Amino acid sequence: MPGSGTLLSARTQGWLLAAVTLVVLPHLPRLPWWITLLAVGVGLFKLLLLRRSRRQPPRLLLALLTLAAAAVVFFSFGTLLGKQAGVALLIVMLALKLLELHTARDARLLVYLGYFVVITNFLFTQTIPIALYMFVATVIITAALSTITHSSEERPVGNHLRLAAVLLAQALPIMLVLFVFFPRVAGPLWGLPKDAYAGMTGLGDSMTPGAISSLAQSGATAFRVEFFGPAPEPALRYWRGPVLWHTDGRTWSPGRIASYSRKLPETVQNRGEAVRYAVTLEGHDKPWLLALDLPAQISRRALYTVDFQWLSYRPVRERIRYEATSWPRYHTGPLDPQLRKAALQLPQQVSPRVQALARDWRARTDSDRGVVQQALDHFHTQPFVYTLQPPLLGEDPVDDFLFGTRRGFCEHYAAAFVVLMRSAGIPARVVTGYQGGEYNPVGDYWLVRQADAHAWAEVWLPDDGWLRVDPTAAVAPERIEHALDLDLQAAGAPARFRLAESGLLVRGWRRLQFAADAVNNHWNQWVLAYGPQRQLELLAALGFKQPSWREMALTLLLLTGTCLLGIALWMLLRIPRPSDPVVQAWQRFCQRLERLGVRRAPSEGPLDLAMRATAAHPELAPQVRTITDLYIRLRYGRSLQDSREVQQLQQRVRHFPQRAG
Amino acid sequence: MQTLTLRDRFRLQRFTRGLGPEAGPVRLDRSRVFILPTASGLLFAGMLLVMLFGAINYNNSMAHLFTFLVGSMAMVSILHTYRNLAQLSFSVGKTPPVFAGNRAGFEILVSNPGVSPRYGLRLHSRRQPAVTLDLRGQHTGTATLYREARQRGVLPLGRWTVSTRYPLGLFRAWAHLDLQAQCLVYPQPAKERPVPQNPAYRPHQSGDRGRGVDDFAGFRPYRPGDSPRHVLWKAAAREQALLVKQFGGDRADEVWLDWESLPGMDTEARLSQLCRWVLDAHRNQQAWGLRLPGHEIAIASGTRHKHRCLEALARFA
Repeated sequence: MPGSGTLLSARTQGWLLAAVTLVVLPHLPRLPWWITLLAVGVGLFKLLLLRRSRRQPPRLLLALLTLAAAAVVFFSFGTLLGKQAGVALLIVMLALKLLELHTARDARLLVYLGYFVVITNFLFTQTIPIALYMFVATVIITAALSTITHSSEERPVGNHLRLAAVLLAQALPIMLVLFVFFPRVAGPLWGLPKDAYAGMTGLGDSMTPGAISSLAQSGATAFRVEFFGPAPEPALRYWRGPVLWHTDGRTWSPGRIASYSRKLPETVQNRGEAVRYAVTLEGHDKPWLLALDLPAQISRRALYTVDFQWLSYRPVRERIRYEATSWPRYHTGPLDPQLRKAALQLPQQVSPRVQALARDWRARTDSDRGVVQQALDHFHTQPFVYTLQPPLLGEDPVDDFLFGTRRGFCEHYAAAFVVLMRSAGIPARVVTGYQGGEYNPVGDYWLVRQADAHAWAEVWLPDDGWLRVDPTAAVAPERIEHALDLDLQAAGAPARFRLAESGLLVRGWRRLQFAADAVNNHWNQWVLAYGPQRQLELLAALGFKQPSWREMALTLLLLTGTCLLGIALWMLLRIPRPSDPVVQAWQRFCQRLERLGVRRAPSEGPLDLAMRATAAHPELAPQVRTITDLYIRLRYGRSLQDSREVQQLQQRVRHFPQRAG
Repeated sequence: MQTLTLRDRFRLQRFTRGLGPEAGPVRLDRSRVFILPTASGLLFAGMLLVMLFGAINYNNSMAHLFTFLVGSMAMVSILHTYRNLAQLSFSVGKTPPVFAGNRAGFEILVSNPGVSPRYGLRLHSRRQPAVTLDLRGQHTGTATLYREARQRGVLPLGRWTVSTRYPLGLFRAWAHLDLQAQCLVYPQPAKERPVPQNPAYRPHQSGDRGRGVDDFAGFRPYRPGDSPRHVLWKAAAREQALLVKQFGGDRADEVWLDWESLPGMDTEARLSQLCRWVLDAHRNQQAWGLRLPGHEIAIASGTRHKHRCLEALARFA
């Protein structure tokens, strides 16, 4: 066993190089090019060193290189902390440590860093293929650790690999117990670096022309829904997100409507059947908990806003699951005067054309409802086009859109509609969220993508309370029935929708996609979304109502101990028998002799043993002699083993007395 | 397996020193093998802790899962470490006598009754460099432990340790053993000094076997230092062995090596001198006898006789 001072063999170094390469590989595309270049270069250089000579680069040079690399990382990221910079630094150090492999201690450090790099990969992606890949990488790193600990010429490469695989396989049950029962704490424990949640997409807390259409070009999952009953019809599948009250003409924001309660106000009434469902929401770094319009109850601790939205206490940064109840048909009751004021707010400048249009509608009818209908008719009859890539709008976006371009995405229609309503004196607001969703028949759930992001309007009418009006539906009714087909969008062209495909190949492909997403969904729900909340639910289902820390610790200890004991029994009791029946029979014979008081010395041959046995037990002399002769002939004889003789030996041994007397 | 009372089981001494001297082959079992993390095992644990904090901080499920996987693997490796030592059987092999001032070698036989091989066994006794050993299944290997033999007498090997860090070096399992291995240490031979001739020597019909120069006495194999004039060149030319003619006088001495012939010296110096004389006498193919206070070994010659005399010197109390 090499102590910390011994030099490493080329074979061990080869293992280390393989292990490090495997764990660093998935990071390479995410790193700045110069780190990728450095890592690949060092790897190749190391390979060359292994084949050519044992000479290593001088330590001082490496120390200077390390410092220089750390400095470059610092200047290119502006920090050494954070996800990106941390990983970059880790990989630079790993690469340089590879060149400084002298002793077993260096090698151990490298292996430990390798385990660490595996973990950092999961900060970027946690898919099933990556998990499998990392498991394989872990087997290789562990095999490398095994070669550092003990390496000899007689021990083949496969032996280390098999050992690592056995160790990890035996670790799996304990890992499962720890995963399920180890008390989960809601993170973060301390402030996270700024880039911790980079790359999370979702609805923002404000809306400008183009905000939602850019979101709508992402195929990423927003959330998945399982209905505990029939799904509501497509026209009712509006998932409510942030409500926007205030506008400066271009940007819409929530305004100063900050009034929260713990539950639904009593003025809101259910006018139909309640719908129950469970949502698995992807992390989006914002507090909104998306729910079907109109959200009534939710299974999480959350705040209810005055504009009917559930908000989490903290931004949703990991995938979470909650159950909710909604009332698709509702009546919201009277309007608070302050809210009415906020719902009539107009930008400083509303162009005369827009004001005239609103005034014209107002003059033609005597009810608010009539004004709404005329606006929808206007969108329907005038040549408006629904497109994902609308032209840019000028100084006054609403005017430009209504009278100029007439091409827009849902946010253009919603914004223009609300401005028109407010100009006509009808309280109105913009609601953002998602509309629709795709049914997955394999997993029996609905998948809502970022591409389903939508914006619509709500108007307050004296008879109905807040009423959802979707001006987009007036322009492109297909939007409500079908999802956008992202592959078919062209600049400025009318949006294309995903209609039922008929081709066998296309259907097969869709089915495969459904299956893959269903597997992913289970992975998400049971592995990735397993956190404090899910753990409490599971423990409750197992009978722990309010588990204390002590109970949890005890359970954990008990289960881990049971697993370890099971593995220990399996390992230590399952003594592999020698496969040779002759050796087996002889060992049994020796055991019986031992019970008779004749213990075979480690170096004693069969003849010497037989002599002692005969001396100690003269009455057994003939049997001892026959067995010994048979054994010697079978084991050391030149001829091939005769199966009859083997049987004879086994029989004789079986009949040999078990104990004296 | 030796049965231990609960009280014995928790004695600290067992942990640091083992069960004390005992005879015969010893098979390692639970009561003898101890396991603790190594320094690099502690570093590994520290790394796991950092990984766990990272997982919690980033709320990352896969990071949790992976941390638990690697942690569980470390736990399972304890069992493998233990199994690498369990059931090994140890006994004492040859311990050839040495002269004081040399290293005494104690051969330890390690036998693996199981089928699975044992890797990276380390045997070491006090401050001596460790011996490493790999054992295939159903095999017996040997490891020799050394100890400086400073004084003549019976040198016990004392407590020694067998340990292993297999499979990952995170844990070290060890057992302290003392199999009562003993090595006879002969006195350190003193400087050359003529053997006192005063004790009886008498003519012997076989003469002095080649020490004199008067009469031809026979042939014997060539030894470095023999005069070339005595080499039997004819035989050498026939490619037979190199022989020399031996001459001898009729004066054959049978020497008595006597304690009393060395007055005024302390015990150890006397023993050293006697040791030297025994060796010289044996080298010169003489017959000799040894007289010690209260003990006498009759005149004889040969290797066995030499060792008998040296043992008497070593054990002289």
